[in-house]
Amino acid sequence: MIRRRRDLRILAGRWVVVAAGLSWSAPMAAQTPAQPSVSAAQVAGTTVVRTTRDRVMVWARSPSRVIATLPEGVALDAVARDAQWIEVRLPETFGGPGDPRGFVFAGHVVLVSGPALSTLPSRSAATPQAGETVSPPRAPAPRFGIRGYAEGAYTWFTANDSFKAIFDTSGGPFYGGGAQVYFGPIYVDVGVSRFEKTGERAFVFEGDVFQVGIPDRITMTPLVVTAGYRFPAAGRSVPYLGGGVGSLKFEETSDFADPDENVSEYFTSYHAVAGVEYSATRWLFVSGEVRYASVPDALGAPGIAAEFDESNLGGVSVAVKVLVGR
Amino acid sequence: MTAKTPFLFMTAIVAVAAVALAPEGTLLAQNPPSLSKKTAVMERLTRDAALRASAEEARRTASASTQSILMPGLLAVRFTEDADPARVAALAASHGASRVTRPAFADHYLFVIDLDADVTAAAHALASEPGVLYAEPVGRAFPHFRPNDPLYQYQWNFQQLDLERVWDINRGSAGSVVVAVVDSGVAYTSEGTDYLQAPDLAGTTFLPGFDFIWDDDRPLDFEGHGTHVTGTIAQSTDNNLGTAGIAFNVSIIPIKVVSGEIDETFGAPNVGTSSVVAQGIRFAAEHGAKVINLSLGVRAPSTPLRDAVQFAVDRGAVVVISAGNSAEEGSPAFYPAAYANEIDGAIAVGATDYSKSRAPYSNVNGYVEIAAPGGDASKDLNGDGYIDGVLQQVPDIEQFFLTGRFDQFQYLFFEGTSMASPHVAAMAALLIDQGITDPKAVEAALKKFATDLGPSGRDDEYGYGLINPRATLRGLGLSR
Repeated sequence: MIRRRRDLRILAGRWVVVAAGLSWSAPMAAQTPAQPSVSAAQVAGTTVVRTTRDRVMVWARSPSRVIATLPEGVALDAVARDAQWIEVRLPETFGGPGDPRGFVFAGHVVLVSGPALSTLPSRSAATPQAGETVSPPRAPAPRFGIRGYAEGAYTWFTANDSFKAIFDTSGGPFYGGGAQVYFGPIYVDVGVSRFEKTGERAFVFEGDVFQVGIPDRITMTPLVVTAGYRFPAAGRSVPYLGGGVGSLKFEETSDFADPDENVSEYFTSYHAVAGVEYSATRWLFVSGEVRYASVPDALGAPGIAAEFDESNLGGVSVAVKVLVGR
Repeated sequence: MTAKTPFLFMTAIVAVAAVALAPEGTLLAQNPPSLSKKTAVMERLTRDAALRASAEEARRTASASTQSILMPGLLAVRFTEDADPARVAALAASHGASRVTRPAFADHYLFVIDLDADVTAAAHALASEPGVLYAEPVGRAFPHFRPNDPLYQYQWNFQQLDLERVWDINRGSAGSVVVAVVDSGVAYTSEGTDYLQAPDLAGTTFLPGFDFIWDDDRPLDFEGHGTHVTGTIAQSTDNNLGTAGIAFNVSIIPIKVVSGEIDETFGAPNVGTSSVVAQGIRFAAEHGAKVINLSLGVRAPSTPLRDAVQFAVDRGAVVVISAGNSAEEGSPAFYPAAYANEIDGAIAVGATDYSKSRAPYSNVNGYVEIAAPGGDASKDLNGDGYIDGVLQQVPDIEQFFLTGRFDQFQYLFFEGTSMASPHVAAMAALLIDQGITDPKAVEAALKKFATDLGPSGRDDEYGYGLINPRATLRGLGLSR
């Protein structure tokens, strides 16, 4: 364990890198760097790094923001490393009371003492060149999390001629919600949504559709389970892929129908999904995804779907989810 | 006084001969071949206590069967006054209700549960919950339109076609669709006291027509045929009188192109020919008819007749034509029925009887496209004590021969493809009223939803089958 340190150390470094030409406008810290000293932590094996340039930004994650700007020569306790970012404790002078932590770009610091953090990059690889900017650190994916969500989707149905005959359009909206659990990069999603629309009964003659003015109401309630993989990626966006199965409750009722002329049936569905999730805040996420669903052998005679030889109740959907949790 | 007035005052007995075979080119109304089988059903029948009791019993039975139909997945639930919304929501959730609504002007909630659920059992379970005053299934309300016309009970043809449920869907918008009855004229109006309008057409809407036999604008019926046909289409209905019609809200254009014995005896300038019928068809099409009923036929091919039918279809009219009553003579072709299968939008109609079999007289031809009840006056299969013809009101011709006046009417059972055709014409009118205005589409719908009879698919006896009015008007849903 790394012991807490709040002292400011400016240490003579072995690696001195000057990142010239960077023009960040963040206000420079007013403090004058203290003289180099060796702390007890160094003796105890704590890893200490030192800023190698002026205006080194320290970033917080989730939400990503700059929490301090350091001058050259500030010694910092390094806690962990994540790719090109090193998590450091901020001295009280810069970070205020408590135990503030943040991330600095690995190319803006040099190892002063202590054990090297694993895969510490070489200076040449980690150093941004003149004019180069760096992205804020990506929030590390928690190992486990659970989130609830609401979603809206628009589906273009595979049985597009049949839906168009009844509704004058081959698609429609679904609204719903669900819950998502993830274990590292793997996630499992359980969602339910609902489609409800009223059109007109019709018949087909020589390819032309004639609606007969009798209201026809379709309700679809898909309950789906999806398992997928979330790709590690830089920044706030996480692409993901998934697939799963579900149960679709299909109901069709119309005016002047006898009870046995209405329909209420369940069908098995299969789907695949691809999307990107964007981290808006630490707890709030928005994702956009494209889904393909297949619900085979759900439609047929004597309905109008038989006229078009369409039997699949699935379709392609574009969905937006708003997720809360972590 | 017009040319036709003098004979209205004459007391003469003119023999009305049933013509089984007509010479080529002579127009035949597709009358029953056996007029002698016609049986009058006088209005006295409705005063018969036994019949009234029977009708009442039938009405009660029908009522009971419809009232037993419950709305799937719907419960009416009332709570005690102190029940809060949270309690209602909790109970709804625990009993599987996906939605709860409080209708306006209601003291109860509606719980929407699974469509497949047993609503009676679900209501029973809910009713036992604390705070629930009652929970019960919701019965479907029906308009209960059963015409109060007292002779409706003898219109087996309407009951066979399930017309009460058809009328739930559509009784036709008042005057919205114009149907031309191109026939022997119609007792559609009164001329002084000597020629009276058929009482059971008093509530029917008529538009100006034309008489191509007498060349005037008063197409009066001296035969009864056109009046009978008109009755099936648009007899005044629910008027506590006589019989009902199918599309009783349409407007009728009466057009006279068939001359009868009376017309000819009293010197009508024209006789009914293919040429005159063609004139009548064109008149109908040019005067806004969207359906033209032709319960008539000519034994000789006629290009003017074919062209007139095509003209009418091109003007947006559905032309419905009786197929002919000569099956027992080898089903010779009748025109324009024989042209119907060449013209999309023109429909040739065969006749069926009470048992949904082809009526023995109904022509068996390649041009038969669909079938409708035409009756069989030789049988009483439904056991109502009367022959199984098609019942409507007609002028009492025999009274005319005695008094010289057309002021008496009777209800007669007729048989024939003439009687089948107006069933189809009326259906076409209701379909048009629902927005299917293309004659080709109307024909396609009638064929598509017909109940296949005889050999599978189209055949020469029934065409595509017996018309199915309810299925036709309902169309198709996505899956059913």
